[in-house]
Formats: sequence, structure tokens, C-alpha cells
Amino acid sequence: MAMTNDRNSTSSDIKRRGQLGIIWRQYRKNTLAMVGLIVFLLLVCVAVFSPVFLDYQNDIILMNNKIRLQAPSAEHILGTDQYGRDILFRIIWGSRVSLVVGLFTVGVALLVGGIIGAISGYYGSVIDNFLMRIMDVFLAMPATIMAVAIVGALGPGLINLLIAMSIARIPQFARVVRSSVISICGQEFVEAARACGTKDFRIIMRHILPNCVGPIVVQCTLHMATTILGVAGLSFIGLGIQAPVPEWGSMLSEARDFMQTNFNMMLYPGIAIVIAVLSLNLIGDGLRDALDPRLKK
Amino acid sequence: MKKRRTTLFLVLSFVLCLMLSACGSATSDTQASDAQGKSLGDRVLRDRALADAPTYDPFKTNDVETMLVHYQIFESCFFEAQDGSYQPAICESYEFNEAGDVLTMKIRDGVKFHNGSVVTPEDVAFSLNTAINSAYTAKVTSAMDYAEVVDGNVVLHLKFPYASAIGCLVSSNCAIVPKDVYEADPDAFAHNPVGAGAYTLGEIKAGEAITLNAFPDYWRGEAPIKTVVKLIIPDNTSARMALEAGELDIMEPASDYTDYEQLNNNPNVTYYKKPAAVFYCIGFNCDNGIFTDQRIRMAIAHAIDKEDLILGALNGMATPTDAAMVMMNPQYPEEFEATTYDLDLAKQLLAEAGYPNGFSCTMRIIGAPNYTKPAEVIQNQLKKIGIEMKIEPMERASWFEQCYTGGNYEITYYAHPISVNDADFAMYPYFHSSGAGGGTNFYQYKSAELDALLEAARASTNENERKDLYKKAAEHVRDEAVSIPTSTGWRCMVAVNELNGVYADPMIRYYLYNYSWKE
Amino acid sequence: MLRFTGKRFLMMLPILLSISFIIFSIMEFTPGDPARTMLGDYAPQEAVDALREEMGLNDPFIVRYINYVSDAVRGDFGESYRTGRSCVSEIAKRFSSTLKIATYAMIISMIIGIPVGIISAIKQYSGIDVIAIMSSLLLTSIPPFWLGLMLIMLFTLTLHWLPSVGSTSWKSFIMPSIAMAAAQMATLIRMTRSTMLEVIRQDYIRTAKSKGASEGWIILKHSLRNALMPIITVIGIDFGNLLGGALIIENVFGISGLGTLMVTSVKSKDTPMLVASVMFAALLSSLVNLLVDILYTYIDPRVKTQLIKTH
Repeated sequence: MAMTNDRNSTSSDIKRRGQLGIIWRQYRKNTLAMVGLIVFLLLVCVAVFSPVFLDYQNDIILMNNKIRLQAPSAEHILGTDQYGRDILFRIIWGSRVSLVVGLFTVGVALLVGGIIGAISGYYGSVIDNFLMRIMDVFLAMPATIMAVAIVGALGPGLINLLIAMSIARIPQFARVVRSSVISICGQEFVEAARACGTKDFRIIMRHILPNCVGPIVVQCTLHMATTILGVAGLSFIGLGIQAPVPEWGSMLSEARDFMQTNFNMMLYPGIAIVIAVLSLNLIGDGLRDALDPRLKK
Repeated sequence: MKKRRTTLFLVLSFVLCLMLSACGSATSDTQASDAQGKSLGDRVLRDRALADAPTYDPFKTNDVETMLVHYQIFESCFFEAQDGSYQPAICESYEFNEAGDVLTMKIRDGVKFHNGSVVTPEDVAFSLNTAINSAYTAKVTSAMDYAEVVDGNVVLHLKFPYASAIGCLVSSNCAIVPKDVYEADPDAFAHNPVGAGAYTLGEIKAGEAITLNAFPDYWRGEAPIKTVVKLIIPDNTSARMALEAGELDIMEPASDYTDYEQLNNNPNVTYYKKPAAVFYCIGFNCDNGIFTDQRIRMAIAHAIDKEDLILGALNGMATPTDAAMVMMNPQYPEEFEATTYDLDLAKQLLAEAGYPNGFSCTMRIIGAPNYTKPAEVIQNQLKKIGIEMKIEPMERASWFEQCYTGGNYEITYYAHPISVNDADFAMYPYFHSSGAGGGTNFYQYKSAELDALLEAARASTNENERKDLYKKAAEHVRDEAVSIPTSTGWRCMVAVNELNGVYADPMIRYYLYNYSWKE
Repeated sequence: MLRFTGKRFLMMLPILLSISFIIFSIMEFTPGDPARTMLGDYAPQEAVDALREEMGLNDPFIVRYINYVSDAVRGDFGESYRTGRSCVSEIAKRFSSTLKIATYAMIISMIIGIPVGIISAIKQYSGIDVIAIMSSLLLTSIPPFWLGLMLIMLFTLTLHWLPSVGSTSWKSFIMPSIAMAAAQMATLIRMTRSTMLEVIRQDYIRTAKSKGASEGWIILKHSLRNALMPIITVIGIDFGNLLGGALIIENVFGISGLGTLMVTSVKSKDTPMLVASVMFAALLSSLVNLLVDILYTYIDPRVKTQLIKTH
């Protein structure tokens, strides 16, 4: 009995590793997707290593009103904002904020949604129906509006923002995981494992979920992109990240007063958002194409 | 096939019609925006409002913004002329008694309300009594006792000799309303006001626009501009862009002066400015919470760099203010020792009070730039002594309800607007203990010593003595750090060049009646 | 057909009910006592207690919820804490602006997105196709509110062609709709392109071609109807996103619509108004989805027969 299980797991491991290689090779062929990947990795590096070069207290939030509203110069490459803070530094630090919020949101949504979807897809019938009806209810509410409602009830702040944003994304992850699980459940090796008496939990964890990774990763990147856009939007109207923490959306909101005199304040945070979101979209698209068997040449 | 296609077409067009039916209201909107009328009198004046007026009951608000609309709809016993003097309106002539604490007013004949009825002395007495009994109007009615009709004249009894009573009666808080209409249903009155002012309340589009129509039977004659539309534009940048694009004719520019250069250099508009009759300050809840401790308040007072605040938050266009009085008050002291900027002393005081490593608190303010920007700078400055201050911007009306009247805050940033140019108005309502507990003393500060100073200054008729007393009162406020005055700015108004009669009024009393179009 | 519509309509109700339950529960977590908020810190406790009784705040959660729902069904969504007026009337005054923006954005994105997607699919890998794909990738990455601000910079401040604030004329809706349509357009371009590509490959198209009909006509007649289905689904789902996006666009353009109402009620802790406006948005969104489902059956007879069989 045990040996059969091991053999099953080894063969699916090999299958997985081989699959990963194939997917990677396919992905590499797509120039745009590679560009996206490189840009995103650069962004992550910038976000992770920025505390080495920048000090939060002194470089990011300390006001220096005497040098306020300066145009780009050698000393301040993108200029200074209305309180004399270096715009480039704030944009760099903003990447940390956006990425952390994005990661947490997607992580939580994936965890909760994944569990719901896996249970729903695996057990089917009544449980499936019940869980999916609940997901439908959440899907019926537009994401931004639900986020506003949650922030409205709990008050603005980082944690409440994370809660609000994750809740909106849980149903979509649940759906993706559910459909992947359902398609895999039909395959023979699952039947075999069940016939061997393997516990449901093991089946789900070792055999089913690993094969869902592809579509899930695609969803993750795409949702991370929409989360960054969503947080920027909420911060723009004052319900997201609160001052003085630099966030691209709230920086854009502050720039409105100075649109005509200091266009740099409005231009660069927007470009930062576009770069971050575009790279994630390119990665997601590239992955989707790489995973699509019909596109294999 | 054909049948399916026709049904498909029908369904699609039905859907389209449904959605486009919402567009129906678009055509009626354009009427309001049609600025080029046939004759000059028909040209609509497009003004700007910061928000909806929460109420049209003149006795139930002390929000300057709301009162801007009330001044057009209601007439009071007196009105303010451009030179700041008070002119008779509903009151035709008046006389104080010997002691100065009884004011007899002869009411002008034939002044009409919007509903056609004539203003009677009973209406005046009723209105004044209603104002006196309202908690919202304390700032202007605190000196008044009651009004009555004697021999066809209105007699206003004051609690003590108070020459400034005339100035108080100018306020829209003392508006004259028809007794029968108001008494019958005060709640309905708040939505359907009836006044004797130059304009009647026209169409209200919630959140969008308030229309005012000239009242043909106004006692001074119909206003030159027949229709005024106040477009509700909370955001300053949007308002400025609207003005520059020709969608607005007149507006108050950004209260943080970020648009000064731009507007001043714009050849199509004129930027009017005068020193403001208001100072901004940091306020503490002295009755509840961490700031009941004077040492902590004092620590913050030592940590505020006013020049830096003015530079960062107000574009450098304001003057640091140290005495808790409006700088244009005649009683403002020439020499006044300010609290020093001393971070070490601040930290020491905090340690003494038991917070050597600082603490966290929340500043609740109105979510408008003239409050949020200074709050951000203050947040930055307080970090230096270890205080983590969160900022909580609130909706205007909520702030008034919860913080100003309700006392539900720790630290705030607000101002002392005044309607009469006298230190009494700048200090008494805000610092006297009678105003605490839901009145105008939003600091909830109660001090017998300060009370005595303010009462004496109010009652005295000797200007030198008053000046001295107010200086002592300001020193008391400084030493107790009840309120930390920060800056006095400008009162500004921007209007297109074709508009006559525009001026900046430090008292924020703007009568649309004064405006007319240039020939 | 009618039975189908009726059934779908009925299905909407439990969803709406659940949404109301969720929102109501979320609001339970709001800190603060509404009665205390309304009367202020210095009101005597007896007054606050009396107001609580009057507002029914002391009843258990379920009772309050049931009362709320029974009132709501009759059209009474309570009074706003902020203005004291009925929530429904406030919403009625404002939702048309939001609906206009969302609808115009939808129409613009359809008018541009679908044809571009079709051309892109027909002329796959050509210059137009590449440009279409690139620009749609770019458009989904641009925050709509930033695009809106840029449009204002160009069309209001530099060219003085369009108004930047308010909803006074039809011109005020041009820029907000374009700003919101951009991202929507991108999705439609790609959806249309991919579904068209799938359909074009199918055998029956080859058969039709071999029969001699001209290429253009074939594609339009046969592929479009098949491609329309997923497109219409996307439109239905995305309408909800458009409503959400309108929230922020309204802020940029100073338009007083449903979104502004929602944000204002959040900032002033006006719970009844917030619940009412969220419910309304959910209702709108569900209605559009329902319409989409009905349209579905008209476009694809297979779906219709399938449904009639199962119902």
C-alpha cells in the first residue's frame, strides 16, 4: 500500500518538475512576458532594498517646508512635493506599500478562497451548492463598493483596508480553485488514490492542488495588479492608506492642487502605478499563454 | 431567423431606452448653466458653495458656510455696509437707554416677507426670542436677555450694557422670520424658509446646486442680479478650474492660498483680499482625555514652529499669531510674549507629565485643506517630541456635531471666526465657562479666573482698561495652553472682471444684493 | 420565456437579501453609538437612552434586521443621520449621474472595443493587431482616476473645451465616461479578439468559405453571434466594476452621484445612508446581470432550449 502511494507521489513529482520546465521554456519565448517579469523583479528589489538606502523618518516623511514645490533638479531628481519631501524617494517607498498590501491581500484571498474552492470542488453536491451561493452573493456586490462599506464600518486604516480588499477577491479565487479541482478530480489517479483509502485531505493537498498551480498563479498576478489599482483608488479618495505614509494614489490626490504649477507631482506617481500594474499584467498574460496547451507550437 | 433578430433588436432597444431615460434630466440641467442671458439683468450669477446647507433654519446653525446662504434669504434688523458700518434694515431707527442695556427699535413699515405678509414688531420680537433661546446662536445672543413689543416698537433687553448689540443683530442668526409660519412648523421651516431677504430660495439639487431668485418686493428694491446659482463644489482645485474655464463667476479661493499666484495672474479675474477676521489655532479638550493635563498642552505649545507651519500649509501667506485674539481687533496687544519654540523643554514637560517616550493621540478636524494641511505639518512637528498624532478628517457637519458641540475629541484644529470686530467676540464665546458643555466653548475650558477677566472686559466702557484686561486674558490662555493660536491669514474673494460690487469681507458676510454686472 | 425571466428575477431576491444581511452585519462592527453621536457627548444619558429606545437600538440584532428588511421592502430605508431626510429620496436625486457615467462608459467601450477586437482577430498579427494588443495592455494598467486628471489637464486647462466639474450639461459626462471606458475597452478588445479567433478556426467557417460566400460576410454573420455571448457576459459582470469605478471618478470630476453619496456617508458615519446606497448599487448590478442573462437566451437559441428543458 505505502509503496504504491510513494510511486504515485514520485511520478507526480517528476511530472510536475517536467511540467514546470516546459512552462518556463514556453514563457521565455514571449518577449513581452519576459519584459514584464524583469520589470517586476526590479520593482521587488527596489521595494525590498530601499530601507538600506532610505530612512523612513528622515527621507520619506520628514517635512522641509523651505524647499517645497521644487522642480526636478540634481539634488531631487523628481522634485519635491508641497512639504519639501523628495518625490522620487516617496515613489520608491510607495512601491513597498503597494507590494505589501498587494501580497497580503492576494495571500489571504488565496488562502481562504482556495480552501473554500477546494472543499467545494472536491465534495461537490450540497456543500458545493451552498458555498457557491454564498460566493455568488459576494460577487453580486461591486468590489470597490464593498471595500468602501467595510472601510466605512471599521474606519480607515491599513488593517481594515486589507480586510476590505481581500474579502472582495475571495470569491474569484474560490471559483478558479473550484473549477481546477473539478477538472482534476475526474482524472484516474485521484480515483486510484481514493481506492487505496488515502485520506481526503492528503488527496487534496498532494495530488489535486499542485496541479491547479498554473491557473492559480495567473489569477494571483492579475489580482495583485487589480489590488494595486484598487488601493490607489481608495487612497485617492482618502479611504485607504492614511497620511503621511507615501502611497501612489494618495500622492496623486495631493498633487491635484498643484497640477498646473508642478506637473511632476502628478506625472510620476501615475507612471509608477502604470509600470507596476503593467508588469504584473504582462506576467499574468504570459503565464496564461504559456499554460495554454493549444498555443504550444 | 428573422423573428429572432427582430426580438433581439427589440430587447436591445428596450434596454438602451431604459438606460438613456436617465439622460432625460440632462436637458433641464442646461437651463441653469445658460450664462449668456438676453439682457444683463438676466445673466445668471454662478457662485460656489462648499457643501449643501444642512438647514435653512437661521437659528439652528453656527456654520459660516451655511450662513452665507442665510444672509441672502433672510433680513435682519441691520445689515453691514462695505465699509464695515452697520446700517438700519428692518429696524428703521433705534435708541439705547441711559444705562445702555435696553435697546428700543422702531420697525420699518411695509417690509415684506417672501410669502407676501408684512413684517410686524411681533415677528421681530418672536424671531429675536427664538434666537436668544437657541443654543447655536450663543455667539451673538449671549448678551441678550429677551425681546418684547412695547407701543409698537421692539424693545430688546440686554443682560448688561452692550454697545456691540447692534453688530450682533446684523448676524443671520438674528434673522427675522414670520412668527405664524415658523411657529406652526419649525421643522418644515428648515426646508422651506420664509424670510425678508433679497433672494428667495429656489430649486435645490442636493449635492449639486442651490438656486436663488431675486425677491421682487425686497424693501430696498429688487436685486440687480435676478438669478444666482450656487454650484456645490467641495474641492478647491475643481472650483478653481471651473472658474478659469468660465463655469463660475465668483468664488472664495483656496483657504490655503495654493492658487494665489495663478489666480492673481489670470487677466480675466480679480483677486480681492483683506486681512482675515479669524485666527486658526490648535484646540484641546480640556475636560476629558489626555489633554486635561496642562503640562502636556504646554509641551505641544513649545513644539509648534509657526513659520514652518505657515510655509508648508498656507503657501507662506499668513502671519503667525500668538495672542488668542484676532489681529485686526482694536484690543490686540502690540507686544505679546509668545511661547518659545523649545523642543527640549517640551520633552521635559512630557516626561514630567509621565510620558517620557511620548504617546499617541488623534486629531479630529474638518476634512478641508485649511485644516488638513496644517494638521499634517503639526503631525510632522509633534513627531520630534515623540508624539504620534493620527489625523482623522471628518465631514463638516459631523465635526460640528461631534467635536464642536459634542466635545468628542482629544485635540483638534479650528479657528475663532468673529462677526463683530471686537476682542470680546474672539474670546468670550470660546473661553468663558458658560459656553462649555455644548455651546461655543469647544475647549470645554472652565476657569473662574479667566471668566472674571472676560466678564470685566465685556462690561467695561474704558477702552484702555479693556485692552489691558484682554491682554491678561490672552496671557492666561497662553500660560494654560488652552488653545494655541497659530496663524492669521487673508480673507479673499475671486470674481470675473465683469462683476461689480465685489469685495473681500473679513466678516464673511457677503450680500449677493451688492453685485451687478458691468455694462 | 416569461417563466424563465420570472425565475431569474426571483433568484435575485435571496442574493439581495443576503447582501443586506452581510452589510447589516458589517455595520454592527461600526464603533460608536448612533444615538450618542446624534446628541453629542454632553447630552444627558437619559436623553441618549430615550433616543436609543426610540430608534430601536436596544433590540437584539435579529429583531433590528427583520425590522429593517420589512421596512425596506416597503420602500423605507430609514433616514440619513446626517441630513435627517429619507435615504431613498437622497439616492433618487443622485443615482442618475452615476448611471449615466457607467452607461456611457459601457457604450463607448463597446463602440470602440468590439470593432477593434474584430478587426484585430481578422487581421491577426498584423500592425493593427499588435497596436490593439499593446494599447489594451496599457489601458488596463492605467488608473482611471489618473487618466481622468490627465484628460482634465488637456481638455479643460489647456484647451478649454470641456467643463471639469459638476454635471450641468452633457459635456460634463464626456471625460468621466472616457476615463472609465478606457480600461473596459481594453478588456472588450481582448475578449472579442480571442473569442473571434476561436470561432474563426472552427470547421464550419471553412465549410461556408468553401461554399463560395465572400469572406467578410461570413465572418460577420456567423462568428459575431457566437462571439457575442462571452462579450455580453463580460459586460454584465463588468457593469458592477463600472459602478465601483464611478465612485472614484465622481470625486475627480466633482459630480454628485451615488458614489459621492456613499463616500460622504462613510466619512460622516451615516450608517442608514451607507446601507441604502450599497443595497441600491447591488440592486442595479443584479438587474444588469439579469438583463444580460435574458439577452443571452435571445442570442443563442441553444441556451434557450436548454433552459426551457431544465425548467
